[in-house]
Order: sequence, then structure tokens, then C-alpha cells
Amino acid sequence: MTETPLLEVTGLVRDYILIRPHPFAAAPRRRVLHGIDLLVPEGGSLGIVGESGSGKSTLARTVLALEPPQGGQVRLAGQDLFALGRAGLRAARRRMQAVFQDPYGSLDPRHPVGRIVAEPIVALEPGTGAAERRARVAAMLEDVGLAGMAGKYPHEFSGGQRQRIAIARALVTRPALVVADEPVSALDVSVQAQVLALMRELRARHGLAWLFISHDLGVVRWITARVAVLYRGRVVEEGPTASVFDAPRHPYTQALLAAMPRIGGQRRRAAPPVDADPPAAGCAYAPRCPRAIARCTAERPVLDGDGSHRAACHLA
Amino acid sequence: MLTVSDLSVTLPMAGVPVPVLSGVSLTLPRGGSVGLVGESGSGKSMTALAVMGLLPPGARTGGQIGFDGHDLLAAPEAALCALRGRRIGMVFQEPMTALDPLMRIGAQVAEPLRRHLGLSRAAAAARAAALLARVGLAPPRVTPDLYPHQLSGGQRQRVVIAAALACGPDLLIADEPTTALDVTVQAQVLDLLAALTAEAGMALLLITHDLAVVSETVEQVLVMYAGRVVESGSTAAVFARMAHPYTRALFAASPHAAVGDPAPIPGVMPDPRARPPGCAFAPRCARAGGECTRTVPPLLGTDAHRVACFHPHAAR
Amino acid sequence: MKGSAWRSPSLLAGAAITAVMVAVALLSLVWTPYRPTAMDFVHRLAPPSAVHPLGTDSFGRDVLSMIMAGAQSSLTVALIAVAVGAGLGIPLGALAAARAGLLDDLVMRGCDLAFAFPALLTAVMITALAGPGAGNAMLAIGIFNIPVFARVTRGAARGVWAREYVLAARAAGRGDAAISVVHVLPNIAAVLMVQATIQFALAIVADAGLSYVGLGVQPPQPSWGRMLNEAQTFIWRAPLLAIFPGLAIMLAVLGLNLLGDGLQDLLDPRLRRAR
Repeated sequence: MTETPLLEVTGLVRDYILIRPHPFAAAPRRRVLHGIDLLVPEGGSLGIVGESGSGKSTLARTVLALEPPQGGQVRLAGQDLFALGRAGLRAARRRMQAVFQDPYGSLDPRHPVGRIVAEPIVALEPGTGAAERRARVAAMLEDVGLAGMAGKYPHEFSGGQRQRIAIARALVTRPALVVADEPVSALDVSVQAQVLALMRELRARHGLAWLFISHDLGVVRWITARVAVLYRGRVVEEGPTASVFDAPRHPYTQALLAAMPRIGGQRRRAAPPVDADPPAAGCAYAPRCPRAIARCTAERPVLDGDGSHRAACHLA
Repeated sequence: MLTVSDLSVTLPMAGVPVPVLSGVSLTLPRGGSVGLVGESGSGKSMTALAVMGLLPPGARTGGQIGFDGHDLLAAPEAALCALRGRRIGMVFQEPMTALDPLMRIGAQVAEPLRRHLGLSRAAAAARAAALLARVGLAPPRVTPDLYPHQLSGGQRQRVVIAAALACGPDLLIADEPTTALDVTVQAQVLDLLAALTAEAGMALLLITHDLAVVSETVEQVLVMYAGRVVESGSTAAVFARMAHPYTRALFAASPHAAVGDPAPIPGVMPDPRARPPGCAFAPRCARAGGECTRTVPPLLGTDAHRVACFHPHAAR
Repeated sequence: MKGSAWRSPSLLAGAAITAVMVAVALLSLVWTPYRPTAMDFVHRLAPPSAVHPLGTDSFGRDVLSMIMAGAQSSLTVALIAVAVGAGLGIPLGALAAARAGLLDDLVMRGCDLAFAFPALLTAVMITALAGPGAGNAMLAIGIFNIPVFARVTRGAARGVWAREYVLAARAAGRGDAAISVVHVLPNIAAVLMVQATIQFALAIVADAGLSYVGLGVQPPQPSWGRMLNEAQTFIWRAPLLAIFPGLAIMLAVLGLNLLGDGLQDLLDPRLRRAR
């Protein structure tokens, strides 16, 4: 492969520094990401699926260079984001924008929509004239179906419309990659479908790549070409969406799919409790896994499989 | 045991009375389970609040809510207080805000026992420990002297359920109990609710925006739109036919529908201040004819299946 | 939505009282019934009459004119003191909130230290050392407003920093300083405005206290505090001499507090929407 991928995450490690037990102790750390590798090609789409505590939001914030990692690299079009200076990072941000979960929290209640959508232009392309800025904001609002709404305030919109505003803000600098952290989780199902359809349409129209993070497999299945399943800070399965959903190889992915609510058909029994602590060595999922064998608690499985669909499981 | 007949609720908005619920009727036998499904603004949560006597100030009501011989709409606040927590338990969406962060979970479960049943401290504590064990929060992993912040989201929701169940209520009202939870945890909580209703002979009123959640948890379903019931009946009958175009649209929009891509419902729910004179769904409905825009369709059919539509779908 | 201000009686009353105070203070710059320093020894300690609506003091000065001129000096001292406090305290608090860690700790422990001194006593000490006078009074009162504003700003700003729109702004490429100015300060403006009116009221009381002990505005420029001081000699013969400046202080403080309460409701767009 000679072409540089748009987003390349290699060996990403992120520790949270916890509160010191007493003033002279070294601050304890908790590892949230244990060496994550991801690849998103130009115009591609990758879904990250996991439960709360899997590290998926931390992954989003680290990829967006909002938090520094303790190890590993995030490369956008070949450039290491954490090796860039202030100006370089600003140029990189123009190519990489974000949509967050809470449509009520992610828009500043005191700014009119036009100013909200214009924010990335103001911050990242300071040379832009006011007339051009207004024109681009208006065009972007039209793109998301909110033409002529630039003068209104966030509280005048519904949750779905607010998420459209957030999407307009993310796309106004014409980025190549949008990182979306649970963008539809706070919305009603019917509105989810509207926002997802819009995201898909915009992806096709602007040749965007999405890194789409969600706990909802139904949503991910629909919007992304590839999917990575995250469990306790590690990718346990990665592959083409259809293949992962139709023939999941990791027991965790299988449990996730089984627990998914389904209309018409009976849900299979829920996965066993989440509470067990993972073993120090071995597979983090072993305590929950109905099929775990002795090797699972002794030796950590690595991500392996045929070229495009891989799973980290001794039994896969 | 719970009989809601022709319930209507009017709320003042900017000084003008606005009808938010019209002609809502439902019957919930002892040990039965009913699901209320709809988008935000459909009136599903308002129905639950009316049953609990927790409507916002200024609300005006019509119709009756019969609970074991009491008319809840006519009952004085003191009588309602005695019922709430004692004979009607409640579980809300956000487990973190429903729990007192400064109180041990055992004490939170024991509190209604002491208040409503007058149990001694020791007896209440013992009963609370048993309840927590019943919802799967048993020592050594979870002990009653933990605080809410030491638990995961799913564990907290189970504490809320244990507290709601403490006095052995005849009716449990669960408003979006799993919306904030991961799929695997959601499956556990739904299974738990189903098991508890079955074994304790407790009735369940489950409120959700997700058709998939009701389809596998309750016996009867009411689909609500813009303050009215548009389709109701046994879960099997409703899902087998999905006679109302709104029910079908909601189904098609769900990312959890068994087949196909989610299809957004065009348009938005009408503002309660400006509802159309006929069927409120008519402006978004492909099947709407002339009479749909003039007359509100009545909810017709048998107890097994009713639909409020002039042009209902035949069986799927 | 526009009419919501009219439904808040405290805002209306507070704004009206404050507006009257400001108008009186401004008017005193160009017109008072008598020169506030003019002494009329024939009519000393006169009761209220058509000639002297609020009577005269022991030097025969017109009390109404003195209260009007006193309003001007009181409001000026309080305004500048609050401006000093807010001007330094708000940036400090915003900085502490933006840069958690050592800087935050330094600023907050500095505030704790300042709070450990009783404000008015220390203001008395500062003016006693630096010399009495309006300028030093402003400075002394202003210094004790700095930690108040720093702490309130930091507390409110920390809440805004945790919001998702700040995360979104960072992802959109905004730096900490820009976020503080563009997102944080506008969203805590209501809190700061309310705090400013409360501090304004406290500064009026502090100014009255300083001039009562002779450390504020110097004679012959009249001030409410010194009027009270001078009135106490005659408290039995002419109790109104103490009551009128006392009422002026009370009204000014009451008006500002009502205004603060009303503003709190009005400036919050979420509360506005809920109406």
C-alpha cells in the first residue's frame, strides 16, 4: 500500500491520572487505552462500538488532539498531530472536525446559529472575510436543511435540528474527516434516522470520512463500512461491517449483538454481568466469557485473522 | 387495577391553555404490562406523570384515572403521597439524578420501608439488603454501604429499581428506564423488570421511544402521537399488523428494525399549540386523504387491537 | 418574551430605585436646591419645611442638597471600587478556571488569604496608612472585591468549561483565551452581573463606613457616612438628621439588591424560555 491513509492511529495509549491517596504518593494512573491501532482511508468510514468504560470517548478526544496520549501516534494524512506546532495543529484541525453527543450541551446557548456554525472558520481561517464567512455558513445551513435559520438561537430548535447545526459546524471548514462521538444517542429513534440519513448523504456529497463512535450497534451497522469493537481499551474485533455483524468472531461481539433489542423476534438472554475485574494477564473479557478456557486467563490474544476481518480471541 | 379512561390534560403555555393529552384510555390488570411508545412530545411521559399525580402546576385534567377503586385525579395530595412509593413505584431515565449522592445505597432502598411501612432500622436494612440482592447487587461485589458514585450506570439503575420495589408496589412505572444504558445492561434491566412483574404479580407501565424495547418486554402496547393514542392492543397483534402509518413509520425509522435501512419520517411533530384539525399525523402521512385533514379519526377495533386511522395498513 | 421584564416586580422596583439614585447623583453635578456646602446659621437644625424639604443640619446646610451630593460621591466610590475588583478579579478567576493546576491553586489560595482579613477593618487600615480620601477609599474597597470576583468567576467558569460546547470549540480550533472570552464569560455574565450589584451595594455600605470614621471623601465634599457621624451628636434633638442619610443608604442598597435578583432571572435564557 503506497497511499497514505487519511487517519492512522498506531499504538495509542492513554492513562488517566487519578487523585493521590496522600500528598506525597505518586499519583496513581489508570490505563484507559491499551495501544489502539486504527486506519481510516480517504472517504472511508469506521465505526467504533463499545460499552461505557470501553474507552471509546477517550479515543475520540485523543484522535481529535484534545487530550495528549501517553504513547502512540495519531497521524492525519501522514502528519503526527502531537508533533505539530500550534500553527500546524490549526491547519490539521481544518481537515478534521467533530460532532458530539449532547445536542443540548454542544451548542453555546448565547450564540445565534450563524455564529455557532462560523466558529471553526473564525478560529481556523482567520483571513476569511465576513461576507465569505456568511455565505459559507448560509450554504452549509442549507446543506443540513436549515436554510435561513442563522439568526435563531439554539433553544428555538429541537434535538434533531440542533444536531444538524452541530454537523453544519463540523463541515464548514470542508474537513476530510469528521469524528462523531455518539451523535444520535440522545435523539428519539425517528429523529436518529433523519440525522443518520443526512450524515450519509453529506458523506457521499463531500467525500467525507467518518470516525463514528456509538454504543448502538444498529446505528453503526447502518452508517459505516468498517467497524471496530472496543472492550476495556482494546480493539477485540475489526472488520467490514457486514462481516462483523453477520459472522462475529469474538464472544464479546456476539454478546453485544445478542443483547441488541430487536423488533419482532425474541431477544436472546443477556450477557453475564459486567462487574468482574479483568485478569492482569490474558484476555480482559475472559471473566465474562462463557467459552473461556485456561489459556484465556494466561495469555493475551492478539488481533488476528484473514486480511480484512480480525478478532483478538484464542477461540476465533 | 389501573384504569385510565378518556384522560385529557391541558397545560398553560405562555398563558394560553394547550391540550397535551386527549382521550387517552388504557387498562392495566394486576400483574399485566403495558408499553407506551412515542417520540418526545407524544404525551407518553405526561400520561405517566398524570398517573403519579405529578403533573406540572397549572395543569387541568379531564377523565378518570382509577387505581384500585381510588380516582387518582380527584384524590387529595396527601392520599397520592401515601400511594406513591408505597403502592406505585417509579423508575426514571437518569439513575444518577434519581439517587441521593450523599446517601448509602442500602439506606436509599430502606428509606421507603421505614417511611411507608414503619419498619425498624434493623428490619429495613435487612429487607434492603435482600432487595438489592434480588436485583443482582449482592455482596461481596456490591454491599449496601456503597455510595451511588461507586457503581456503574446499570448498577445504579438496579438500585433505583430496588428502591421502587421496596414496599412491594402493585404498579411499577418505568419512564425510559434503559435509555441511558448500554445494550447489554439494557437487556439485563429489561429481563429483570419482566421477571419481577411475573414473580411478584406487579403491574408494569413501561414508557419508551424505542419500539424494540417494548416489543420484547410487555404484553400490551399503546402507540402515542401528538397527545393521542393512535394504535393499541396486544404486543403480538400490534407488531403483526402495524396498522397505523405512524407505527409503521416509527418501525421503519428504528435502527433496530430487523431488515433494511432506517427510513426517516418526513417532517416534524406538530406544535401542540397549532395542531391540525384532523389527524395530527396527516401532514407527514403518505396515505392521508381528505377526511384525514378534517376529522380526528376515532380509535376503533377490539380490545385485542385498535387503531385510529381512516386508511390503516392491512397485515404485513 | 419581551414583556417578561414587566412580570418581575423586584427587577422593576430595583431598577426604578437605582435609576432614581443615579439620576439624583447626576443631577447634583449641575443642580442642587442649595450649594451643599452653603451654611445658613440662622436656620440651624431646621425641621423639614417648604424652604428646606429635608431640613438643615447643625451648620444650617440643606440636608436634601447634601444627600444629593452625597449620592454622587457614594456611587462614584462604589462604582470605581467594583470596577477595580471586577477588572482584576474576573480575569484572574477566568485564568484560574482555564488553567487548572498550579496557577489555579495559587490564585485560589491567594483569595483565601485575602478572605482571612476582615474586609472593612483592613480597608480602614489601608486608608489610615495611605491617608484618607476618596481615591484611597476606592482602592481599599476595590482590593477586597478582587478575590470575591475571582472566586465567583472561577466557580462559574469551571462549570462552563465542563460543558460540551467548550469541547466543541476546542475541536473547532479555539484556544483557551478565545474560549474564555467568546464562550465562558458571556455564559457567566448573569452570575457576574448579579455579583456586581451585590458588591456595589456592599461598597456603598463600606464607603459610608469609611467616611463615617472620617477616612473617605474629605470635607467639605458631603458624604452619607459623615452626615450620619455628624448627626449622632444631635440624635435626640434632630433625629431626622440621622434618618435621612440612613434612608438614602438603605434605599440604595435595597434597590441594588432587588436589581440583582431581578437580573438573575432576566439574564438566563433558559429561565426566559420556561416562562
